[in-house]
Amino acid sequence: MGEVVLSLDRLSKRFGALLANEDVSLDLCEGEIHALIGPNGAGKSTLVKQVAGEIRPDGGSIIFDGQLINGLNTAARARAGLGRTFQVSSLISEFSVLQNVMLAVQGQQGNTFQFFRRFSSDAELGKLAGQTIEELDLQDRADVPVSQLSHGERRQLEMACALALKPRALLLDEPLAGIGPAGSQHMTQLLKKLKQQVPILLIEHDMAAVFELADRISVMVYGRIITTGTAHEIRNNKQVQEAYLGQEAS
Amino acid sequence: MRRETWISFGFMAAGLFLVVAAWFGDEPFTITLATKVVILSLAGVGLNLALGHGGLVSLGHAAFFGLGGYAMGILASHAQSFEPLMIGAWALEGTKSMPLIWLVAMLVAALFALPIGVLSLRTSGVYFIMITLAFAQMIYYFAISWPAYGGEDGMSIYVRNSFPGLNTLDPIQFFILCALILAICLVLVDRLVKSRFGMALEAARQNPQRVTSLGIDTFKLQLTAFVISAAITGLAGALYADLNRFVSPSMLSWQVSGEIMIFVILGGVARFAGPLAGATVFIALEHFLGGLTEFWQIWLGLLLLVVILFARGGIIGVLAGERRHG
Repeated sequence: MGEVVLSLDRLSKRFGALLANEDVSLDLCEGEIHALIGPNGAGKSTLVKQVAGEIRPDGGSIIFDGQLINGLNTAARARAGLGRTFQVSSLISEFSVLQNVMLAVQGQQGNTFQFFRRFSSDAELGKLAGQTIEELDLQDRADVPVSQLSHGERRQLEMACALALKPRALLLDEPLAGIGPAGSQHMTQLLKKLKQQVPILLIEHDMAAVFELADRISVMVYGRIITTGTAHEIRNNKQVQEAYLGQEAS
Repeated sequence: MRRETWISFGFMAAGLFLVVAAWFGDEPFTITLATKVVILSLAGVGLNLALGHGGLVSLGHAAFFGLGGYAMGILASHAQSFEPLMIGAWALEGTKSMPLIWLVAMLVAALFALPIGVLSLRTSGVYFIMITLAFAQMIYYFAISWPAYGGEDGMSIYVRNSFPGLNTLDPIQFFILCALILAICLVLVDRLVKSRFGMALEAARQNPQRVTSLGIDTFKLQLTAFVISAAITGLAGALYADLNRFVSPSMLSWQVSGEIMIFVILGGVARFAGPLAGATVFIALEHFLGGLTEFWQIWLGLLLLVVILFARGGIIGVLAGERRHG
Protein backbone atom coordinates (compact mmCIF):
# COMPACT_ATOMS: atom_id res chain seq x y z
CA MET A 1 0.00 0.00 0.00
CA GLY A 2 1.16 3.51 -0.79
CA GLU A 3 1.77 6.34 1.63
CA VAL A 4 -1.02 7.71 3.84
CA VAL A 5 -2.79 10.72 2.30
CA LEU A 6 -5.63 11.26 4.74
CA SER A 7 -5.65 10.17 8.32
CA LEU A 8 -8.40 10.59 10.90
CA ASP A 9 -7.37 10.18 14.49
CA ARG A 10 -10.00 9.58 17.20
CA LEU A 11 -12.59 11.95 15.68
CA SER A 12 -15.64 12.52 17.85
CA LYS A 13 -18.81 14.47 17.27
CA ARG A 14 -21.78 14.78 19.57
CA PHE A 15 -25.19 16.30 18.80
CA GLY A 16 -26.80 16.81 22.21
CA ALA A 17 -27.23 13.35 23.70
CA LEU A 18 -26.48 11.63 20.40
CA LEU A 19 -22.92 10.48 19.92
CA ALA A 20 -22.71 10.64 16.12
CA ASN A 21 -19.03 9.72 15.85
CA GLU A 22 -16.96 8.26 18.66
CA ASP A 23 -13.18 7.92 18.43
CA VAL A 24 -13.20 7.27 14.71
CA SER A 25 -9.73 6.49 13.36
CA LEU A 26 -9.24 5.70 9.73
CA ASP A 27 -6.69 6.29 7.01
CA LEU A 28 -6.66 6.53 3.27
CA CYS A 29 -3.57 5.53 1.29
CA GLU A 30 -2.29 6.33 -2.18
CA GLY A 31 -3.83 4.11 -4.86
CA GLU A 32 -6.66 2.67 -2.83
CA ILE A 33 -10.40 2.85 -2.48
CA HIS A 34 -11.31 2.75 1.17
CA ALA A 35 -15.04 2.11 1.58
CA LEU A 36 -17.01 3.14 4.63
CA ILE A 37 -20.17 1.11 5.09
CA GLY A 38 -22.75 0.84 7.82
CA PRO A 39 -26.48 0.94 8.40
CA ASN A 40 -28.48 4.16 8.02
CA GLY A 41 -27.84 6.58 10.84
CA ALA A 42 -24.48 5.04 11.69
CA GLY A 43 -22.78 8.42 11.34
CA LYS A 44 -21.13 8.07 7.94
CA SER A 45 -22.36 11.40 6.59
CA THR A 46 -21.40 13.15 9.82
CA LEU A 47 -17.88 11.82 9.34
CA VAL A 48 -17.74 13.04 5.74
CA LYS A 49 -18.94 16.48 6.81
CA GLN A 50 -16.23 16.67 9.45
CA VAL A 51 -13.55 15.73 6.97
CA ALA A 52 -14.88 18.23 4.41
CA GLY A 53 -15.04 20.95 7.06
CA GLU A 54 -18.77 21.55 7.15
CA ILE A 55 -18.97 20.66 10.83
CA ARG A 56 -16.31 20.95 13.46
CA PRO A 57 -15.28 17.86 15.39
CA ASP A 58 -15.56 17.92 19.19
CA GLY A 59 -12.33 16.00 19.45
CA GLY A 60 -9.66 14.28 17.42
CA SER A 61 -7.59 15.37 14.45
CA ILE A 62 -7.72 15.27 10.67
CA ILE A 63 -4.36 15.05 8.97
CA PHE A 64 -4.31 15.57 5.23
CA ASP A 65 -1.18 15.42 3.13
CA GLY A 66 0.93 15.57 6.28
CA GLN A 67 -0.81 18.62 7.69
CA LEU A 68 -3.33 19.11 10.46
CA ILE A 69 -6.38 20.63 8.73
CA ASN A 70 -8.80 20.90 11.67
CA GLY A 71 -8.56 24.69 11.56
CA LEU A 72 -9.18 25.09 7.82
CA ASN A 73 -12.63 26.00 6.50
CA THR A 74 -14.35 24.07 3.72
CA ALA A 75 -13.03 26.23 0.89
CA ALA A 76 -9.47 26.05 2.20
CA ARG A 77 -9.67 22.25 2.45
CA ALA A 78 -10.88 22.09 -1.14
CA ARG A 79 -7.95 24.28 -2.19
CA ALA A 80 -5.62 21.96 -0.26
CA GLY A 81 -6.80 19.15 -2.56
CA LEU A 82 -9.77 17.53 -0.90
CA GLY A 83 -12.35 16.90 -3.63
CA ARG A 84 -15.83 15.70 -2.87
CA THR A 85 -19.24 14.81 -4.23
CA PHE A 86 -22.47 15.14 -2.32
CA GLN A 87 -25.10 12.63 -1.31
CA VAL A 88 -27.70 14.79 -3.06
CA SER A 89 -26.29 16.30 -6.28
CA SER A 90 -25.12 19.83 -5.71
CA LEU A 91 -24.48 21.75 -8.93
CA ILE A 92 -25.04 25.21 -10.40
CA SER A 93 -28.37 24.45 -12.05
CA GLU A 94 -28.57 27.48 -14.37
CA PHE A 95 -25.06 26.85 -15.70
CA SER A 96 -24.21 24.45 -18.50
CA VAL A 97 -22.13 21.31 -17.97
CA LEU A 98 -19.07 23.06 -19.38
CA GLN A 99 -19.58 26.15 -17.21
CA ASN A 100 -19.83 24.01 -14.07
CA VAL A 101 -16.52 22.34 -14.83
CA MET A 102 -14.92 25.65 -15.87
CA LEU A 103 -15.82 27.07 -12.49
CA ALA A 104 -14.14 24.07 -10.87
CA VAL A 105 -10.99 24.68 -12.92
CA GLN A 106 -11.13 28.30 -11.82
CA GLY A 107 -11.35 27.15 -8.21
CA GLN A 108 -8.32 24.94 -8.73
CA GLN A 109 -6.32 27.77 -10.26
CA GLY A 110 -7.32 30.05 -7.41
CA ASN A 111 -7.71 33.19 -9.52
CA THR A 112 -11.33 34.06 -9.00
CA PHE A 113 -10.70 37.75 -8.42
CA GLN A 114 -10.38 38.76 -12.06
CA PHE A 115 -12.96 41.34 -12.95
CA PHE A 116 -12.61 42.15 -16.61
CA ARG A 117 -11.75 39.21 -18.84
CA ARG A 118 -14.72 37.22 -20.11
CA PHE A 119 -15.22 33.89 -18.36
CA SER A 120 -16.99 32.26 -21.32
CA SER A 121 -14.22 33.02 -23.82
CA ASP A 122 -11.40 32.12 -21.43
CA ALA A 123 -9.50 29.62 -23.58
CA GLU A 124 -7.46 28.24 -20.70
CA LEU A 125 -10.49 27.44 -18.55
CA GLY A 126 -12.34 26.01 -21.53
CA LYS A 127 -9.49 23.75 -22.58
CA LEU A 128 -8.88 22.23 -19.15
CA ALA A 129 -12.60 21.82 -18.50
CA GLY A 130 -13.04 20.21 -21.93
CA GLN A 131 -10.42 17.59 -21.10
CA THR A 132 -12.14 16.68 -17.84
CA ILE A 133 -15.52 16.51 -19.54
CA GLU A 134 -14.12 14.09 -22.12
CA GLU A 135 -12.66 11.90 -19.42
CA LEU A 136 -16.16 11.47 -18.10
CA ASP A 137 -17.88 11.02 -21.48
CA LEU A 138 -19.91 14.19 -21.10
CA GLN A 139 -18.56 15.96 -24.21
CA ASP A 140 -21.84 15.61 -26.12
CA ARG A 141 -23.69 17.31 -23.29
CA ALA A 142 -21.21 20.16 -22.73
CA ASP A 143 -23.64 22.99 -23.53
CA VAL A 144 -26.71 21.48 -21.89
CA PRO A 145 -27.91 23.28 -18.75
CA VAL A 146 -27.69 21.20 -15.60
CA SER A 147 -31.44 21.46 -15.06
CA GLN A 148 -31.93 19.26 -18.16
CA LEU A 149 -29.50 16.52 -17.18
CA SER A 150 -30.54 13.06 -16.04
CA HIS A 151 -29.72 12.00 -12.51
CA GLY A 152 -26.87 9.80 -13.68
CA GLU A 153 -25.40 12.61 -15.76
CA ARG A 154 -25.48 14.90 -12.76
CA ARG A 155 -23.51 12.33 -10.82
CA GLN A 156 -20.95 12.22 -13.62
CA LEU A 157 -20.78 16.00 -13.71
CA GLU A 158 -20.21 16.18 -9.95
CA MET A 159 -17.36 13.78 -10.45
CA ALA A 160 -16.00 15.95 -13.27
CA CYS A 161 -16.08 19.01 -11.00
CA ALA A 162 -14.29 17.10 -8.25
CA LEU A 163 -11.62 15.87 -10.68
CA ALA A 164 -11.10 19.30 -12.21
CA LEU A 165 -9.83 20.36 -8.79
CA LYS A 166 -6.90 17.93 -9.31
CA PRO A 167 -7.56 16.54 -5.85
CA ARG A 168 -5.09 14.65 -3.66
CA ALA A 169 -8.01 12.66 -2.24
CA LEU A 170 -11.69 12.22 -3.10
CA LEU A 171 -14.61 11.96 -0.69
CA LEU A 172 -17.53 10.36 -2.49
CA ASP A 173 -20.82 10.27 -0.62
CA GLU A 174 -22.99 7.57 -2.25
CA PRO A 175 -21.98 8.18 -5.88
CA LEU A 176 -24.03 5.20 -7.06
CA ALA A 177 -27.29 6.12 -5.33
CA GLY A 178 -30.26 6.22 -7.67
CA ILE A 179 -28.49 6.00 -11.02
CA GLY A 180 -29.78 2.59 -12.13
CA PRO A 181 -27.86 -0.62 -12.96
CA ALA A 182 -26.32 0.62 -16.23
CA GLY A 183 -25.20 3.92 -14.71
CA SER A 184 -23.95 2.08 -11.69
CA GLN A 185 -21.78 -0.22 -13.80
CA HIS A 186 -20.42 2.72 -15.76
CA MET A 187 -19.54 4.57 -12.55
CA THR A 188 -17.93 1.47 -11.04
CA GLN A 189 -15.63 1.16 -14.05
CA LEU A 190 -14.82 4.84 -13.78
CA LEU A 191 -13.94 4.60 -10.09
CA LYS A 192 -11.69 1.61 -10.76
CA LYS A 193 -9.81 3.67 -13.32
CA LEU A 194 -9.72 6.74 -11.09
CA LYS A 195 -8.16 5.16 -8.04
CA GLN A 196 -4.85 4.95 -9.88
CA GLN A 197 -4.81 8.76 -9.99
CA VAL A 198 -6.34 9.64 -6.67
CA PRO A 199 -7.26 7.70 -3.54
CA ILE A 200 -10.97 7.55 -2.76
CA LEU A 201 -12.88 7.44 0.51
CA LEU A 202 -16.14 5.90 -0.62
CA ILE A 203 -19.41 5.91 1.28
CA GLU A 204 -21.78 3.53 -0.47
CA HIS A 205 -24.80 1.34 0.18
CA ASP A 206 -24.47 -0.82 -2.93
CA MET A 207 -22.67 -3.81 -1.41
CA ALA A 208 -21.91 -5.52 -4.71
CA ALA A 209 -20.11 -2.40 -5.89
CA VAL A 210 -18.31 -1.94 -2.59
CA PHE A 211 -17.00 -5.51 -2.57
CA GLU A 212 -15.91 -5.15 -6.18
CA LEU A 213 -14.19 -1.79 -5.75
CA ALA A 214 -12.82 -1.46 -2.26
CA ASP A 215 -9.30 -2.39 -1.30
CA ARG A 216 -10.23 -1.93 2.31
CA ILE A 217 -13.59 -1.61 4.01
CA SER A 218 -14.40 -0.01 7.36
CA VAL A 219 -17.70 -0.83 9.01
CA MET A 220 -19.39 1.83 11.10
CA VAL A 221 -22.15 1.04 13.56
CA TYR A 222 -23.61 3.50 16.06
CA GLY A 223 -20.87 6.04 15.39
CA ARG A 224 -17.95 3.64 15.92
CA ILE A 225 -15.82 1.79 13.45
CA ILE A 226 -16.16 -1.84 14.54
CA THR A 227 -13.66 -3.29 12.10
CA THR A 228 -11.50 -2.53 9.08
CA GLY A 229 -10.29 -5.13 6.59
CA THR A 230 -10.26 -6.43 3.03
CA ALA A 231 -13.48 -7.40 1.26
CA HIS A 232 -12.83 -11.05 2.10
CA GLU A 233 -12.21 -10.37 5.79
CA ILE A 234 -15.31 -8.19 6.10
CA ARG A 235 -17.55 -10.72 4.39
CA ASN A 236 -16.51 -13.39 6.87
CA ASN A 237 -16.61 -11.20 9.97
CA LYS A 238 -19.27 -12.43 12.44
CA GLN A 239 -19.76 -9.03 14.04
CA VAL A 240 -20.34 -7.39 10.69
CA GLN A 241 -22.77 -10.05 9.57
CA GLU A 242 -24.80 -9.48 12.71
CA ALA A 243 -24.72 -5.73 12.58
CA TYR A 244 -25.23 -5.16 8.94
CA LEU A 245 -24.92 -7.74 6.22
CA GLY A 246 -27.13 -10.27 7.99
CA GLN A 247 -29.96 -7.80 8.16
CA GLU A 248 -29.71 -7.12 4.48
CA ALA A 249 -29.65 -10.80 3.53
CA SER A 250 -32.76 -11.63 5.53
CA MET B 1 -27.16 39.65 -30.89
CA ARG B 2 -29.63 38.42 -28.32
CA ARG B 3 -33.09 39.89 -28.18
CA GLU B 4 -32.47 41.34 -24.74
CA THR B 5 -29.48 43.28 -26.06
CA TRP B 6 -31.60 44.79 -28.85
CA ILE B 7 -34.29 45.76 -26.39
CA SER B 8 -31.79 47.33 -23.98
CA PHE B 9 -30.19 49.44 -26.69
CA GLY B 10 -33.53 50.27 -28.27
CA PHE B 11 -34.75 51.47 -24.92
CA MET B 12 -31.73 53.68 -24.37
CA ALA B 13 -31.93 55.06 -27.93
CA ALA B 14 -35.58 55.99 -27.37
CA GLY B 15 -34.62 57.77 -24.15
CA LEU B 16 -31.86 59.70 -25.87
CA PHE B 17 -34.23 60.63 -28.70
CA LEU B 18 -36.69 62.10 -26.20
CA VAL B 19 -33.94 64.15 -24.59
CA VAL B 20 -32.72 65.45 -27.95
CA ALA B 21 -36.31 66.35 -28.86
CA ALA B 22 -36.68 68.18 -25.54
CA TRP B 23 -33.44 70.02 -26.21
CA PHE B 24 -34.59 71.23 -29.63
CA GLY B 25 -38.00 72.02 -28.22
CA ASP B 26 -36.34 74.04 -25.45
CA GLU B 27 -37.89 72.12 -22.57
CA PRO B 28 -35.19 72.11 -19.87
CA PHE B 29 -37.58 70.59 -17.35
CA THR B 30 -37.86 67.38 -19.40
CA ILE B 31 -34.08 67.20 -19.64
CA THR B 32 -33.76 67.57 -15.88
CA LEU B 33 -36.36 64.85 -15.41
CA ALA B 34 -34.36 62.60 -17.73
CA THR B 35 -31.21 63.41 -15.75
CA LYS B 36 -33.01 62.28 -12.62
CA VAL B 37 -33.93 59.01 -14.32
CA VAL B 38 -30.31 58.48 -15.38
CA ILE B 39 -28.96 59.12 -11.88
CA LEU B 40 -31.53 56.90 -10.17
CA SER B 41 -30.82 54.20 -12.76
CA LEU B 42 -27.18 54.38 -11.74
CA ALA B 43 -28.17 53.79 -8.11
CA GLY B 44 -30.16 50.82 -9.37
CA VAL B 45 -27.20 49.52 -11.37
CA GLY B 46 -25.27 49.47 -8.11
CA LEU B 47 -27.98 47.60 -6.22
CA ASN B 48 -28.54 45.23 -9.15
CA LEU B 49 -24.99 43.94 -8.76
CA ALA B 50 -25.62 42.97 -5.13
CA LEU B 51 -29.29 42.04 -5.34
CA GLY B 52 -29.56 40.63 -8.84
CA HIS B 53 -26.23 38.98 -9.43
CA GLY B 54 -25.15 38.39 -5.86
CA GLY B 55 -28.55 37.49 -4.43
CA LEU B 56 -27.90 39.94 -1.58
CA VAL B 57 -31.23 41.62 -0.94
CA SER B 58 -30.05 44.85 0.64
CA LEU B 59 -32.66 47.19 2.04
CA GLY B 60 -29.91 49.55 3.12
CA HIS B 61 -28.64 51.01 -0.12
CA ALA B 62 -30.10 54.41 0.77
CA ALA B 63 -27.19 54.59 3.23
CA PHE B 64 -24.69 54.53 0.37
CA PHE B 65 -26.84 56.81 -1.79
CA GLY B 66 -27.06 59.31 1.05
CA LEU B 67 -23.41 58.99 2.01
CA GLY B 68 -22.51 59.84 -1.58
CA GLY B 69 -24.83 62.82 -1.33
CA TYR B 70 -23.31 64.00 1.95
CA ALA B 71 -19.78 63.51 0.61
CA MET B 72 -20.70 66.00 -2.09
CA GLY B 73 -22.54 68.30 0.32
CA ILE B 74 -19.78 68.42 2.89
CA LEU B 75 -16.95 68.96 0.40
CA ALA B 76 -18.88 71.62 -1.51
CA SER B 77 -20.05 73.44 1.62
CA HIS B 78 -16.46 73.76 2.84
CA ALA B 79 -15.44 75.09 -0.55
CA GLN B 80 -18.36 77.51 -0.35
CA SER B 81 -17.42 78.83 3.08
CA PHE B 82 -13.63 78.62 2.57
CA GLU B 83 -13.33 76.86 5.92
CA PRO B 84 -11.12 73.81 5.90
CA LEU B 85 -12.66 70.46 6.83
CA MET B 86 -11.04 69.25 10.04
CA ILE B 87 -10.56 65.52 10.43
CA GLY B 88 -8.68 65.23 13.71
CA ALA B 89 -5.53 67.27 13.22
CA TRP B 90 -5.87 67.19 9.45
CA ALA B 91 -7.21 70.18 7.62
CA LEU B 92 -8.70 69.38 4.24
CA GLU B 93 -9.79 71.93 1.70
CA GLY B 94 -13.34 71.63 0.41
CA THR B 95 -13.74 71.22 -3.31
CA LYS B 96 -16.19 72.03 -6.08
CA SER B 97 -14.55 69.68 -8.57
CA MET B 98 -16.91 66.91 -9.62
CA PRO B 99 -14.31 64.23 -10.41
CA LEU B 100 -12.75 64.66 -6.98
CA ILE B 101 -16.16 64.63 -5.30
CA TRP B 102 -17.14 61.47 -7.14
CA LEU B 103 -13.99 59.73 -6.06
CA VAL B 104 -14.56 60.69 -2.42
CA ALA B 105 -18.24 59.68 -2.62
CA MET B 106 -17.35 56.23 -3.94
CA LEU B 107 -14.60 55.79 -1.37
CA VAL B 108 -16.82 56.83 1.53
CA ALA B 109 -19.64 54.51 0.40
CA ALA B 110 -17.17 51.64 -0.01
CA LEU B 111 -15.57 52.30 3.38
CA PHE B 112 -18.97 52.14 5.07
CA ALA B 113 -20.02 49.11 3.03
CA LEU B 114 -17.02 47.11 4.17
CA PRO B 115 -17.89 46.75 7.88
CA ILE B 116 -21.63 46.73 7.13
CA GLY B 117 -21.03 43.90 4.67
CA VAL B 118 -18.75 41.97 7.01
CA LEU B 119 -21.44 41.99 9.70
CA SER B 120 -24.49 41.59 7.44
CA LEU B 121 -23.06 38.71 5.40
CA ARG B 122 -23.01 36.54 8.50
CA THR B 123 -26.76 36.34 7.95
CA SER B 124 -28.89 35.60 4.93
CA GLY B 125 -32.48 35.89 3.75
CA VAL B 126 -34.81 38.01 5.86
CA TYR B 127 -32.12 38.67 8.45
CA PHE B 128 -29.84 40.14 5.80
CA ILE B 129 -32.65 42.45 4.67
CA MET B 130 -33.29 43.56 8.24
CA ILE B 131 -29.68 44.09 9.27
CA THR B 132 -28.87 46.18 6.18
CA LEU B 133 -32.01 48.22 6.91
CA ALA B 134 -30.89 48.66 10.51
CA PHE B 135 -27.47 50.00 9.51
CA ALA B 136 -29.05 52.42 7.06
CA GLN B 137 -31.44 53.67 9.73
CA MET B 138 -28.56 54.24 12.13
CA ILE B 139 -26.85 56.48 9.57
CA TYR B 140 -30.18 58.20 8.82
CA TYR B 141 -30.76 59.11 12.47
CA PHE B 142 -27.16 60.17 12.85
CA ALA B 143 -27.55 62.59 9.94
CA ILE B 144 -30.77 64.01 11.46
CA SER B 145 -29.15 64.67 14.80
CA TRP B 146 -25.86 66.06 13.51
CA PRO B 147 -26.31 69.83 13.36
CA ALA B 148 -22.99 70.69 11.68
CA TYR B 149 -24.36 69.94 8.19
CA GLY B 150 -27.94 71.05 8.43
CA GLY B 151 -29.32 68.25 10.60
CA GLU B 152 -32.90 67.47 9.73
CA ASP B 153 -33.17 70.39 7.30
CA GLY B 154 -30.29 69.30 5.12
CA MET B 155 -28.15 71.84 3.31
CA SER B 156 -28.16 73.67 0.04
CA ILE B 157 -25.25 74.04 -2.32
CA TYR B 158 -25.86 77.24 -4.24
CA VAL B 159 -23.89 76.57 -7.38
CA ARG B 160 -23.61 73.18 -9.05
CA ASN B 161 -20.14 71.71 -8.83
CA SER B 162 -17.84 72.04 -11.80
CA PHE B 163 -16.46 69.67 -14.36
CA PRO B 164 -13.46 70.77 -16.45
CA GLY B 165 -14.61 72.15 -19.80
CA LEU B 166 -18.34 71.97 -19.12
CA ASN B 167 -21.01 74.35 -17.90
CA THR B 168 -22.74 71.95 -15.53
CA LEU B 169 -25.62 74.34 -14.87
CA ASP B 170 -26.74 73.88 -18.48
CA PRO B 171 -29.25 70.99 -18.21
CA ILE B 172 -28.20 69.26 -21.42
CA GLN B 173 -24.50 69.34 -20.50
CA PHE B 174 -25.17 67.92 -17.05
CA PHE B 175 -27.44 65.29 -18.60
CA ILE B 176 -24.72 64.20 -21.04
CA LEU B 177 -22.21 63.97 -18.21
CA CYS B 178 -24.54 61.78 -16.12
CA ALA B 179 -25.52 59.64 -19.09
CA LEU B 180 -21.85 59.02 -19.90
CA ILE B 181 -21.15 57.95 -16.34
CA LEU B 182 -24.14 55.61 -16.45
CA ALA B 183 -22.93 54.15 -19.75
CA ILE B 184 -19.44 53.58 -18.37
CA CYS B 185 -20.80 51.94 -15.22
CA LEU B 186 -23.17 49.75 -17.25
CA VAL B 187 -20.30 48.52 -19.42
CA LEU B 188 -18.00 47.93 -16.45
CA VAL B 189 -20.66 46.08 -14.47
CA ASP B 190 -21.52 44.01 -17.54
CA ARG B 191 -17.87 43.01 -17.92
CA LEU B 192 -17.63 42.28 -14.22
CA VAL B 193 -20.71 40.08 -14.25
CA LYS B 194 -19.32 38.02 -17.14
CA SER B 195 -15.81 37.72 -15.68
CA ARG B 196 -14.44 34.93 -13.51
CA PHE B 197 -15.47 36.91 -10.46
CA GLY B 198 -18.97 37.51 -11.77
CA MET B 199 -19.57 33.89 -12.69
CA ALA B 200 -18.41 32.72 -9.28
CA LEU B 201 -20.68 35.32 -7.67
CA GLU B 202 -23.61 34.13 -9.78
CA ALA B 203 -22.81 30.53 -8.88
CA ALA B 204 -22.62 31.41 -5.18
CA ARG B 205 -26.10 32.92 -5.42
CA GLN B 206 -27.44 29.68 -6.85
CA ASN B 207 -25.52 27.18 -4.77
CA PRO B 208 -23.01 28.38 -2.17
CA GLN B 209 -22.24 24.81 -1.07
CA ARG B 210 -21.00 23.92 -4.55
CA VAL B 211 -18.85 27.04 -4.85
CA THR B 212 -17.28 26.43 -1.43
CA SER B 213 -16.50 22.85 -2.36
CA LEU B 214 -14.53 24.21 -5.32
CA GLY B 215 -12.27 26.07 -2.95
CA ILE B 216 -13.81 29.50 -3.55
CA ASP B 217 -14.73 31.59 -0.50
CA THR B 218 -18.31 32.79 -1.00
CA PHE B 219 -17.95 35.36 1.79
CA LYS B 220 -15.09 37.15 0.01
CA LEU B 221 -17.02 37.07 -3.27
CA GLN B 222 -20.16 38.53 -1.78
CA LEU B 223 -18.36 41.12 0.32
CA THR B 224 -16.47 42.37 -2.74
CA ALA B 225 -19.70 42.57 -4.74
CA PHE B 226 -21.43 44.40 -1.88
CA VAL B 227 -18.65 46.98 -1.62
CA ILE B 228 -18.52 47.64 -5.38
CA SER B 229 -22.29 47.85 -5.43
CA ALA B 230 -22.23 50.42 -2.62
CA ALA B 231 -19.57 52.51 -4.37
CA ILE B 232 -21.69 52.75 -7.54
CA THR B 233 -24.77 53.73 -5.54
CA GLY B 234 -22.62 56.26 -3.65
CA LEU B 235 -21.55 57.81 -6.94
CA ALA B 236 -25.21 58.08 -7.93
CA GLY B 237 -25.89 59.79 -4.59
CA ALA B 238 -23.24 62.44 -5.27
CA LEU B 239 -24.75 63.13 -8.71
CA TYR B 240 -28.27 63.25 -7.28
CA ALA B 241 -27.25 65.81 -4.67
CA ASP B 242 -25.62 67.82 -7.41
CA LEU B 243 -28.74 67.63 -9.55
CA ASN B 244 -30.87 69.07 -6.74
CA ARG B 245 -28.05 71.21 -5.33
CA PHE B 246 -29.38 70.00 -2.02
CA VAL B 247 -28.70 67.12 0.35
CA SER B 248 -30.78 66.09 3.34
CA PRO B 249 -31.36 63.03 5.54
CA SER B 250 -34.30 62.06 3.30
CA MET B 251 -31.71 60.67 0.85
CA LEU B 252 -30.79 58.21 3.60
CA SER B 253 -34.33 57.16 4.48
CA TRP B 254 -35.55 53.61 4.07
CA GLN B 255 -38.09 54.75 1.49
CA VAL B 256 -35.17 55.50 -0.80
CA SER B 257 -33.80 51.98 -0.22
CA GLY B 258 -37.21 50.67 -1.16
CA GLU B 259 -37.40 52.83 -4.27
CA ILE B 260 -33.99 51.69 -5.53
CA MET B 261 -35.12 48.13 -4.95
CA ILE B 262 -38.33 48.83 -6.89
CA PHE B 263 -36.29 50.07 -9.88
CA VAL B 264 -34.40 46.79 -9.95
CA ILE B 265 -37.39 44.50 -9.48
CA LEU B 266 -39.69 46.44 -11.79
CA GLY B 267 -37.11 46.61 -14.56
CA GLY B 268 -35.82 43.07 -14.20
CA VAL B 269 -33.55 41.53 -11.61
CA ALA B 270 -30.02 40.84 -12.91
CA ARG B 271 -30.88 42.31 -16.32
CA PHE B 272 -28.42 44.63 -18.05
CA ALA B 273 -30.88 47.49 -18.56
CA GLY B 274 -33.29 46.46 -15.79
CA PRO B 275 -32.59 49.37 -13.42
CA LEU B 276 -32.96 51.81 -16.34
CA ALA B 277 -36.35 50.47 -17.34
CA GLY B 278 -37.45 50.38 -13.71
CA ALA B 279 -36.34 53.92 -12.89
CA THR B 280 -37.88 55.25 -16.12
CA VAL B 281 -41.27 53.72 -15.42
CA PHE B 282 -41.12 54.80 -11.78
CA ILE B 283 -40.32 58.44 -12.57
CA ALA B 284 -42.80 58.51 -15.45
CA LEU B 285 -45.54 57.27 -13.13
CA GLU B 286 -44.53 59.70 -10.41
CA HIS B 287 -44.53 62.59 -12.87
CA PHE B 288 -47.61 61.89 -14.99
CA LEU B 289 -49.84 59.99 -12.59
CA GLY B 290 -48.60 62.12 -9.70
CA GLY B 291 -49.89 65.14 -11.65
CA LEU B 292 -53.36 63.58 -11.78
CA THR B 293 -53.69 62.14 -8.33
CA GLU B 294 -51.94 62.23 -4.99
CA PHE B 295 -52.48 58.49 -4.74
CA TRP B 296 -50.33 57.53 -7.73
CA GLN B 297 -48.44 55.03 -5.61
CA ILE B 298 -51.52 52.79 -5.54
CA TRP B 299 -51.00 52.30 -9.27
CA LEU B 300 -47.29 51.75 -8.76
CA GLY B 301 -48.16 49.12 -6.17
CA LEU B 302 -50.52 47.40 -8.57
CA LEU B 303 -47.91 47.41 -11.32
CA LEU B 304 -45.31 45.98 -8.95
CA LEU B 305 -47.76 43.29 -7.90
CA VAL B 306 -48.41 42.31 -11.51
CA VAL B 307 -44.68 42.21 -12.28
CA ILE B 308 -43.92 40.04 -9.26
CA LEU B 309 -46.84 37.68 -9.81
CA PHE B 310 -46.74 37.31 -13.59
CA ALA B 311 -43.39 38.58 -14.84
CA ARG B 312 -40.53 37.57 -12.62
CA GLY B 313 -38.05 38.89 -15.17
CA GLY B 314 -39.50 42.41 -14.84
CA ILE B 315 -40.18 44.71 -17.78
CA ILE B 316 -37.02 43.67 -19.63
CA GLY B 317 -37.78 40.03 -18.93
CA VAL B 318 -41.26 40.29 -20.44
CA LEU B 319 -39.97 42.04 -23.55
CA ALA B 320 -36.99 39.74 -24.02
CA GLY B 321 -39.16 36.69 -23.45
CA GLU B 322 -36.44 34.64 -21.84
CA ARG B 323 -36.61 33.23 -18.39
CA ARG B 324 -33.72 33.66 -16.05
CA HIS B 325 -33.58 33.46 -12.29
CA GLY B 326 -36.11 30.95 -11.04
